[in-house]
Amino acid sequence: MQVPLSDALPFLAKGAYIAIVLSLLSIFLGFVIGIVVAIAETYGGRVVRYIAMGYENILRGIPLIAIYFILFFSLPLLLHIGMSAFLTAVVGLGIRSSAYQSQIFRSSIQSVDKGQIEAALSLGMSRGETILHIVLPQALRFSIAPWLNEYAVVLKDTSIALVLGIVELTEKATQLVQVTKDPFLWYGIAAVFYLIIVLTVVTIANRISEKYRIKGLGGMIRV
Amino acid sequence: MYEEVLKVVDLKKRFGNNEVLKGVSFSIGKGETKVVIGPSGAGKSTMLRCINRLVEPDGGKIYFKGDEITSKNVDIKKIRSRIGFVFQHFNLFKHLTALDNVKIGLKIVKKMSDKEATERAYKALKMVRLEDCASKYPAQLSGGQQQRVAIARALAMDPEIILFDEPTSALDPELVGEVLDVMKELSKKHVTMLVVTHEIGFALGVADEILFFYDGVIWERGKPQEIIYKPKKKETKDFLRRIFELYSRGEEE
Repeated sequence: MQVPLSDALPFLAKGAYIAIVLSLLSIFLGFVIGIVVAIAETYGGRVVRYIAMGYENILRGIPLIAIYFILFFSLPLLLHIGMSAFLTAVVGLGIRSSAYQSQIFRSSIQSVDKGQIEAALSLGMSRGETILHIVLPQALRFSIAPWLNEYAVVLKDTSIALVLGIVELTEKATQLVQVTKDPFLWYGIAAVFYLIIVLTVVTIANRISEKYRIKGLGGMIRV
Repeated sequence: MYEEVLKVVDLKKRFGNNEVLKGVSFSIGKGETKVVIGPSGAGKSTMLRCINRLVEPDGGKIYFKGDEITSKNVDIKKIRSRIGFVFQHFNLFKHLTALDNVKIGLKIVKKMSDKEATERAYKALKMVRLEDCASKYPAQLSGGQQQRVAIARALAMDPEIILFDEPTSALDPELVGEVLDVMKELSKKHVTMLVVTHEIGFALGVADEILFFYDGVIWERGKPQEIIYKPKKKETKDFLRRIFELYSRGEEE
């Protein structure tokens, strides 16, 4: 059976929309948790540091699909917390991304030289003020390139949410393939969709990167 | 009239087995400039860092304007905001312009309005003759300019004393002069200063007293003319001879 492009493209676009929303919510959740974990690993006391490192290593060690199953099937049994499939997809992808993002932020935080921290403390700033006004503004700039890489990974892994029954871009393409028996065309078009999304985000990030570039410190980071 | 700003009594610090400070005592009065010289490893930088507690001393007491600041329940942030610190490697905030480097302490620590902070910051940059570089970032400035911004950053806070930790050691030789000139001016304006340096000329010109650090203690101290030209102790003589040799070699080249 043939499906005309005028029908198929909006159908795929809906899937792309879900992939975008899922990826943005997940990357944002991962960003917030990732920064907290990175700060805990860098500045926390012994106990806090070990907890943060444990969190990071466990989540980096488990396949995303297993994280999904644990969240979706095990948690409700253990804690009687039930989440919708979509929320599970966001949380699972988000916490796994937070483990990778914390690595990005930790190395960026550590690359802000200690002398600047001493200078800030010498002015009378608290540790919190120093992190907020001196360390993070520089660390976030250093993080843009590796962070974009992580976004691409998150976007592509939104397809794994199909195990939770979420019909996003890849699953939509699969449905078209099942009807038309033409995998090359529809998976190809889905791939182009993914590419367009990633390139759009890269372009936006490069604009941001250029706007906040620290003058005199090399060229902008092109990704 | 002598008004004491800082008094250090029997200051001690060890790192592991290495006893860096073995009991250092001295004081500085308002408007005085004291210069600390001595071989590396003698504890000069550690002593400065103990004063604003970037390094916690192990023993002894430090009094700032009569108040002990070494006890645990002191609000060290308040004290630090009243003590300027100029570092060997400038330590400017790389993501901020020269102006914002000077402003940030005023805004965040002193809670000044943006307008007030900007005015104060410009005044401080003027004192180090860098008002034209206000909008430049540290990476766009020479080492000498960066160090002068760092001095302006300390000055703007209106500190009661400024500590200098080898402020010219990281500079190319031709840039040392511009930084020393600014420091001499401050000394003439009776800004209270404690300066760790190897610049003997500066010490001779403006110091009220030279403290020669050796082996974790003040080995010898006195008026600049006496210490530089008529040192009494062997270790002081040896150190000065090495410094002078370095200087004269520089002149021959």
